[in-house]
Amino acid sequence: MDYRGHDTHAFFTANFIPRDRLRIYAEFAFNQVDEGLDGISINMAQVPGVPPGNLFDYHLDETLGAYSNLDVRHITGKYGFSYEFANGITLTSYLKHDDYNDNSPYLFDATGTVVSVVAGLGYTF
Amino acid sequence: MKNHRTFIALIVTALAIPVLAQGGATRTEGKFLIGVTGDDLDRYIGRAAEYEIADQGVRPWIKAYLELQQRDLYLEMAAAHSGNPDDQFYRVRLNAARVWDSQFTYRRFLHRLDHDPLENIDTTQVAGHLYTYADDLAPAHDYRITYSEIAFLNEFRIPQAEWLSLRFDYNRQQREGAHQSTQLNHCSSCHVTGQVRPVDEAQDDFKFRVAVDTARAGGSYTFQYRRFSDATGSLPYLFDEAVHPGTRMDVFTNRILYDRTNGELPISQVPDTNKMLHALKAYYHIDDRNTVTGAFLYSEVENETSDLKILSRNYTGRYTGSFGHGITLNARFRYSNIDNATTYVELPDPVANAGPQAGRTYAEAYPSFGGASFTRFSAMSREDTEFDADLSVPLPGRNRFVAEYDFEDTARDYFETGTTREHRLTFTFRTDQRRELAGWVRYQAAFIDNPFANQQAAVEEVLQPFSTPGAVPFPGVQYFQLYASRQATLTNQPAMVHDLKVSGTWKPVQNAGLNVAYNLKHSTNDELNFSDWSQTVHAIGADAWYTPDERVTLNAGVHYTDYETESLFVQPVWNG
Repeated sequence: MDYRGHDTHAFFTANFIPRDRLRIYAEFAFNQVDEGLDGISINMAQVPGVPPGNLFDYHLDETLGAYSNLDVRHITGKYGFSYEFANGITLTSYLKHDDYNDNSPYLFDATGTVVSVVAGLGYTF
Repeated sequence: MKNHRTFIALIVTALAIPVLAQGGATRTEGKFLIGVTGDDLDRYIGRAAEYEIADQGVRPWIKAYLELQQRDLYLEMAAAHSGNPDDQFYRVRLNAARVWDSQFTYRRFLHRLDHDPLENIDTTQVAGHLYTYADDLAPAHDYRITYSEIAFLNEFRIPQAEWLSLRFDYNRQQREGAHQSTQLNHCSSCHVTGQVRPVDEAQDDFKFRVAVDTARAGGSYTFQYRRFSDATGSLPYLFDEAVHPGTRMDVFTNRILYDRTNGELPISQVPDTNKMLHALKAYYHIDDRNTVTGAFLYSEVENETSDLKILSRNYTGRYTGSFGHGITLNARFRYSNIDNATTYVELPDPVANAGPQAGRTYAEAYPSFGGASFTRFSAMSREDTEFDADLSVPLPGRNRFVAEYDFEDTARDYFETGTTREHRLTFTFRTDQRRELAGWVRYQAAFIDNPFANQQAAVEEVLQPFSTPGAVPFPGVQYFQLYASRQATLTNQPAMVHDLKVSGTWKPVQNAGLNVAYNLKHSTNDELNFSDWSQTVHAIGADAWYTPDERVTLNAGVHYTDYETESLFVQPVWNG
């Protein structure tokens, strides 16, 4: 039996100051995880005894690996700006998303998404 | 209502900060932010927002920061409230003439926990009787833990004795909420239940330290007391009655330790514990190039529920030396002794109420079983001896070579694995010969004798390759005979490891760079009696940054990991 997996992670961030007092930024991350048991097999010639009555389907063992399969794609991002439009007074806002995709659910489907929009006003002294 | 009061009080405090700051302070800085957050949720958010506030709709939030400096007094305050009481942060720091430095912090956040609906457990029936089934007793419950921490850190220094410092820290961590507790009822129908287990845990840490520091030598003594308790303690649970799922006869009572007839029993029990630690540390600079340090730690951990103790003693020593021409030597020694109490676990020995073994205990029906009670010897009890040394030598042309040897001996008092001994060699070569190109390569080899393993973990002997006549559990091979016949030792620990790491940085221009790294780790264990174990991991990654001008910064990276573990897989088959 073997347990195989491969994970991929990629990210990108950018900061841009097009003019004084204005900052624009973006953050993005991508994660993909694939894991699972593999190579489970049974050689019936090596099984010393089989009870009568078809009580067991020995070849079901070969499907056990499917229960361990993990296939998750997780994507997150945050995109926003801050702008000081008057002395000491700043407007800030961003959009944030977190997208979790459970593509091989086992006990339950953990797929879900949260999208947030944030806006605020700041005073610096 | 209480939460609303907290939020309003915070707003009033934050608004008052600029007013208070006008009180003649030499320097005043601060920031005050207020805003709103709108969340939109879709399906399950336990993973997408595992540690974050996510409430459908709109909520206000507030943040404030203030810094005051007046003569010898420094005051810093920070506060944040996300509009949900489960997400708050406050910090106050005060420094009075460098005599008293104090910081108070309070933080609070939540952790969403999964809820298993138990839908993967099939319901099976024979002749109308349930043999296996599951019940989620709180199907709508949203399991979560709110974590909060109070930290109060204080350091005192006397101007007339600057070589002396005193420290007193208090830390309290709390976990409140609930997690899902699952129980299995058996030797009746196989019946799995899931229920709410409230959590109300608190851990208090008190730490006192006195330290002496001079140019030549120094040392410290630390005393720490920790107390952990769970106000919930345990959950009362009424197990099913141990009757045959088909005949409903009382034939299995000598095969179980408890059932419904014992009434409610405590489950999901978390014991109260306390810990006491004494730590002595010292250092001595022999000269400008040579330093020795040493430490002794003694701790006692007591389980107040069982009255059992774990005693630990830890001795460490270190030498750091420089021999000129860039040659350095570090050597470390560590010895620790952990003694976990041995205890006798006495279990009931009930008789069968009906059936062919009526009036007899299990040990009476099967004399070779011996009895369920046992003496618990802990695998944690051990002596660890470690030694490592590294020599760093400069090579011509901005290159350096480092060789390191590590030795570790773990002698377990009781566990069958006994003594594990590891030798590890590490060689590192670093180069930055050219300004635009630098890198290093490291190779590590580890050789481990007798790694930790589960002895006799699998591969039962074929004791009965046919069904028991009558398909009843009383005659024929019993579970304890199957367990005792296991032959294969299994482990996930290697006997040999080869680990290669390569990293390179290319900086062709002043405002851009690229780093590429690769790691190959191959671990094997061919000392097992029935199978081999191996694990291979490849990890490669690249990160780049580019700053075309002072107004733009770009970063990007990609990392890929591939791994494979090979092990013996055993599926025991018997008709219980």
